[in-house]
Amino acid sequence: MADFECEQYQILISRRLDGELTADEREALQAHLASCPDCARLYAAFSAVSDTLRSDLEEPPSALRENVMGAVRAKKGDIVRLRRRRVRLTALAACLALLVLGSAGLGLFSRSGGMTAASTSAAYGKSTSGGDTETAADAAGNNLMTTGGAESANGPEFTAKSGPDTAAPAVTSGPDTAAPAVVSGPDTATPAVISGPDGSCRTADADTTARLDDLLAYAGDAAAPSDTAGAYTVSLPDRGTLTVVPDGDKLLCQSDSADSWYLAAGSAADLQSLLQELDSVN
Amino acid sequence: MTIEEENDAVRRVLDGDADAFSPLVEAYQKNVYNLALRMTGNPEDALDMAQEAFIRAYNSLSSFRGDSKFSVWLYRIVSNVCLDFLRARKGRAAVSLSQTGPDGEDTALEIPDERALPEAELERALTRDAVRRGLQALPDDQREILLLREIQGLSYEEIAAALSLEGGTVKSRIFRARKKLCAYLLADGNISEVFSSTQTKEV
Repeated sequence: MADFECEQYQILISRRLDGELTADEREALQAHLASCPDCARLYAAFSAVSDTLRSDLEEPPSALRENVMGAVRAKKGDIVRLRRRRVRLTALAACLALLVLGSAGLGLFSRSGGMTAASTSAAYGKSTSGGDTETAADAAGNNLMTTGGAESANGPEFTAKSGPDTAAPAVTSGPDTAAPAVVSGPDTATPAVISGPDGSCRTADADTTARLDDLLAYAGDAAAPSDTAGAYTVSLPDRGTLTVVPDGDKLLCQSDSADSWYLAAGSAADLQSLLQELDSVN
Repeated sequence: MTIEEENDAVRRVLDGDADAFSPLVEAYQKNVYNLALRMTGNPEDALDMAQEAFIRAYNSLSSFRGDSKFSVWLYRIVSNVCLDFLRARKGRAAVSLSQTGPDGEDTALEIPDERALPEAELERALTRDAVRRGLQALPDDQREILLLREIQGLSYEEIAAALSLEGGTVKSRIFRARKKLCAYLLADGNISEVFSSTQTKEV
């Protein structure tokens, strides 16, 4: 009995530290603490931890404000994209990863000609699959180029250049194919894969992947869509697999790691024009 | 910033004045950075996530409708950015979550005899480093909610709004987070004699 009672008072202790008690509760707690050494000790421990947390604040580096305002001012009115620090720092690692991944992917290309995007993304997950040396060298050249010029690039380094008829099965196979474990460096190095409601499948280049990431950024909560027939499945390297449903001009998204739906920052029209751009590159 | 000033800044940004975003960054960068710092556990990722959160806030500013405080809306974005990042990090399994900051101060406890320690001085006995480690050991949702309360100073009602939770869930999750954090510190040797046997039950 006493245990049960103490448990109730312990919740009051927590609420008291948060200023969430009524006057009556406060009084009752006070009386209990005076007579229960266990709860009094817990109160001391909770408030010590709380004080430590509240006082443990660090000054943000000046780069934070500078980078944010720099990015915002440079792209007035447009969707702002932040160039990620780690992309620069690990550019070399990125090149290496791309080289390995790219060669694996192209190795499959050369063997099967009209490969599907599903097998493309599977190939990205395997750094060990053997591509032949010729295509590996090719891939290295391409990828080094596009990585170096990532700022200006609309470089189609990841655009699937398979046959004219690449109606492919939807890529819904989950995070392991979407974000290959081998790429632990920059988030923008892996391409996004977008499968449409009509069975179409597109692979984005690095630039488009970053834009897609912004477009599908969280911008508020949303109720689940009533109809998901027009759903796109988007595999983003940084965020796993998203289900994206156009709803009027809005885009509703659901992450594979969450039940709830949210409203994307970009509009349905934004997504359409991005997909058209991808198609025109192909 | 007052609420009026915030809303005014938001309106000016939406009218195309990018510079008007600056006072908002100025006002919230410390809280945003510290939230990201305690969520990710290291300064490099914290800077990335804080930047990302501000940029996302800027990009989606038109969805801020002023029916909650700007801070609550912003912290929600920070939380989401950090949780996305943590999920991806776990997926990559490249980073140990038990790591703390680079200072490595976890040796200096400076308590000769914990039994003799007056309760009022307990705070000093808890090194920041130990508490940071304990935070990293919490499940993401418990760490998130505790930080929204302790660092951002959000009320239960604001937390419930920010995380789409029931008030009762907020109350109990914060309590569980505190209890788990204390249990960690106890196991870690940072608090002893603080918990009686009744506190060692599963939380």
